[in-house]
Amino acid sequence: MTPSASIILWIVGLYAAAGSIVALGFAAIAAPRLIGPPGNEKPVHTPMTLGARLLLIPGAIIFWPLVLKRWLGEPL
Amino acid sequence: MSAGFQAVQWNAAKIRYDAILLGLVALYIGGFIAVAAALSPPADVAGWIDLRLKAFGSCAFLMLSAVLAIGPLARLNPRFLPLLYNRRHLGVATFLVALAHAGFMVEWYILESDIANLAGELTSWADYLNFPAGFPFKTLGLIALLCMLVMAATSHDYWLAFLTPPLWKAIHMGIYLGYGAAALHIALGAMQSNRHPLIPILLFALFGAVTLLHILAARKAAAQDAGDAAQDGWLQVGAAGDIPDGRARIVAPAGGERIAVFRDGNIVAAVSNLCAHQNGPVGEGRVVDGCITCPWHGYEYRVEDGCAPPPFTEKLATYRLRLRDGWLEVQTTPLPPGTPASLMLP
Repeated sequence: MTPSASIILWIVGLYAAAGSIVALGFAAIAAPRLIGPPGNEKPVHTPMTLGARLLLIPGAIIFWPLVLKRWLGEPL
Repeated sequence: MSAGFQAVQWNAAKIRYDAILLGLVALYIGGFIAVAAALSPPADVAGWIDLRLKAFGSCAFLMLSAVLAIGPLARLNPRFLPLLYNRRHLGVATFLVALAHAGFMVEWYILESDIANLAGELTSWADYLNFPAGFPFKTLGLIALLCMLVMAATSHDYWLAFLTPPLWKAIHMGIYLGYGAAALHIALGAMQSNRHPLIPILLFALFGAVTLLHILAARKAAAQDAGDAAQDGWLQVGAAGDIPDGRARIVAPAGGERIAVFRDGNIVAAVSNLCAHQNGPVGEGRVVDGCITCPWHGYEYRVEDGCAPPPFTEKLATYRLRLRDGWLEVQTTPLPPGTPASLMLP
């Protein structure tokens, strides 16, 4: 494998690893608290099924910096 | 609509849509492999993997073309609206088929004990200057797959609310980048390995058809947006009886937003044509049980005031209506969202 391929794979791997940690915490804890139910923009504790939480994980891995920012109480 | 978030809000229409989609995908892939294997039987395991690669790859491109064609088709002819209703499932299915295609490619490299060179192949920077003969076309496939991954991963309604509609919409426009990359991926792959002329012909016919549909739909929308001249702030809609029961006529003042004028029996009401959910074309929907129902995702608004029924809080801007010499007219200035403004016909 070329050195540049190794570097790219490491960067992608680290980003995905950090994203996985954030995404798991987000899906388990934060997701229901950050936005309101469909049609209601006010953040409240929104009922959310296990299936819905699992479906959020891939998106949270991709956008984990945005997820973390919102989780810490900052606007996007 | 639901008071909470579920993985998928199943209903009979979605189940039917997904069952037909699954059946068509299985039919295409099974048919492709059966016909290709009968015409030219693969000699070894690598040959079978290659066959699966082509079956799943071509299927994913056809599906992606369909995803992009449905929007303009529905705009040009409302008969295609049922296809639009569950387009996000088609999009996610397209990603899964494309992912399987990528998986078979990795399987092929593993079989040939060449997996380490796959990453090296993508990072041979000098080859990127050797266009088209040596250009690493797999990179374009990877770009298309990543675009589809982002779309699929953020297709849930939660992400629309989390990212906000403008950002979500901007991200999902990336599908056009993915489509372009996928078309180039196939074109270069075909040029470099399989020189059968049918492949580029079919590819560009499909790409051209999708592009043409977008141009035609944009021209239709532009003609609508050109709008009609309003007099004293009132715009003529036409005879109320000419609006089909339960449907809308869409009008637009010159340079203004589109207005959907619905008739529900002897009640007429005018609302903004933009759904509060994803800016879908509310006016292309219909009235069901006293609620205007958006054709995209079934979001509902009461005819009388444009408010979503409780416990939902979405509201559409409404417009005043009047009858003048038997003609229905709409005031072009919107009222605050949720203001009751329907009109009872005599």
